[in-house]
Amino acid sequence: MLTGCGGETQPSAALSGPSPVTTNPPPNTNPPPRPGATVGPEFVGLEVPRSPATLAPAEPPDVPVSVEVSAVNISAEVVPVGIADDGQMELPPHPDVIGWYRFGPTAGNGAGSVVLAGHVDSRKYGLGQFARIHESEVGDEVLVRTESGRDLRYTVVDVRSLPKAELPLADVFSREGHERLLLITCGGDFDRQQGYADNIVVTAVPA
Amino acid sequence: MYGGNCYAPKRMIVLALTMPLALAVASGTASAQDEATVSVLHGVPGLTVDVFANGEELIPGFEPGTLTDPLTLPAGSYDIEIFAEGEGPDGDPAIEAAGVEVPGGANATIVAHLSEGGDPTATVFVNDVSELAAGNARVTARHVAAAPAVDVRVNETPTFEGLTNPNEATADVAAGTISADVVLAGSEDVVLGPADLNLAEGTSTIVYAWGSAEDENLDLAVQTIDDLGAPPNGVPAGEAGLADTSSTTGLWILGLVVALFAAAAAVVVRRRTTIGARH
Repeated sequence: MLTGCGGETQPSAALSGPSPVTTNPPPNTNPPPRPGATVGPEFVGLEVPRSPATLAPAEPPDVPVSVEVSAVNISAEVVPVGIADDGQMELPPHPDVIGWYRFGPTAGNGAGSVVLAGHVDSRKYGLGQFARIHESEVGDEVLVRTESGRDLRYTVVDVRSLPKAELPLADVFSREGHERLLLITCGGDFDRQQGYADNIVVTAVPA
Repeated sequence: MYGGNCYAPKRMIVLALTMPLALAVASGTASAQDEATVSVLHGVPGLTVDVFANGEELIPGFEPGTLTDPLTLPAGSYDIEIFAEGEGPDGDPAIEAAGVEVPGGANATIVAHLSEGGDPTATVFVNDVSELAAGNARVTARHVAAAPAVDVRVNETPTFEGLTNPNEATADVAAGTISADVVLAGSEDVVLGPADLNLAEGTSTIVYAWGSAEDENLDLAVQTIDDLGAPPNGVPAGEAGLADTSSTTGLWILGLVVALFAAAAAVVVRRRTTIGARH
């Protein structure tokens, strides 16, 4: 796969400890007789996890502010972006500015897919910083600086181009699994109506 | 159907009846093989309880304002009895609800709370866990307090109006932080809040108004359900064709290069001509 994101986690079963295998399915009679307990014995005597139903303080993430891939001479400002009106990832208009998908994990968070994407070019500004991203190679270093001043180093593990329709969006934007950094732009054949045919995707993992 | 399944587009407000327990007595057979995800919220002030389901103690020592983690329970009909701590199962329950239907596949919250008139009761809310569009969050307000009808205001604008116990209102909105407060319906009299709510993308935030207006212990309880989000539907990262790799544009670029070269050559020739003319 594209991102090597294995760790799909199942919705957490509420109880640790004995496996809550249903050994006594609830009665299918009408009306259900009271002694036909549907609470399995696995619950009895176990402490059900609980917590105060209070407001969780929102901790602002340590957002990425710049990205460098010195091997291909990329050094760009990074700004948080969200969703465009058409439901696609929003991108900074200037192709020298890279967007960080702010609804996904931030760099250094330790989990999930950190997505940095930028226009490969623009009619107004010409070619962008990520126009050179396809030249990067496995083993190249990617440096991401965060707002708090942390320098996070990643190593490129994959460089590929694939048709936009085949971009595995659920994986690209996954919050699960080990942290990885995705640098995305466009490439391939260009059509005035359709734009570029492909997405260039560079995958890097914490060094 | 269940109010919790209400689905509202942005800015549209849906007020929906939940399923009061008293009306939820089994009218048919439950889909026996399914499971349901059930959380339990204790919203009766001043009373630590033991919760029993079908005669088995499910949650001992349950304190007001506390929410359980989601439990995976067989779907079906439950007789819920809630006793003051240590008084069950043979004493008189503080709250008794027979035939509580927990639908198969549902994500539900059972809330022990006060009725509008101040009597302990319980309500099952079915939580809307349908997928959210990328960039959106879901916010739900549930009135489980001994209090009259209220309006829930977002950034001081009435958003959920005329909400009564034990009902809910829900909407999908752009993710972000909002300031919410609760006023008596149609008034400016703030009874709760304002509170800043961080509506995280892909997350459902359920806010309960619980307690008693008369006893002046109204409070907010919050439940969140994660992982309802969808990814963006693409990355449209280019617009000019300058990085085009297709052969036709390659030819076009070649043509451009040839044209520029020819133009440059022409300039050179002209300069030479000019220079020659000076001599």
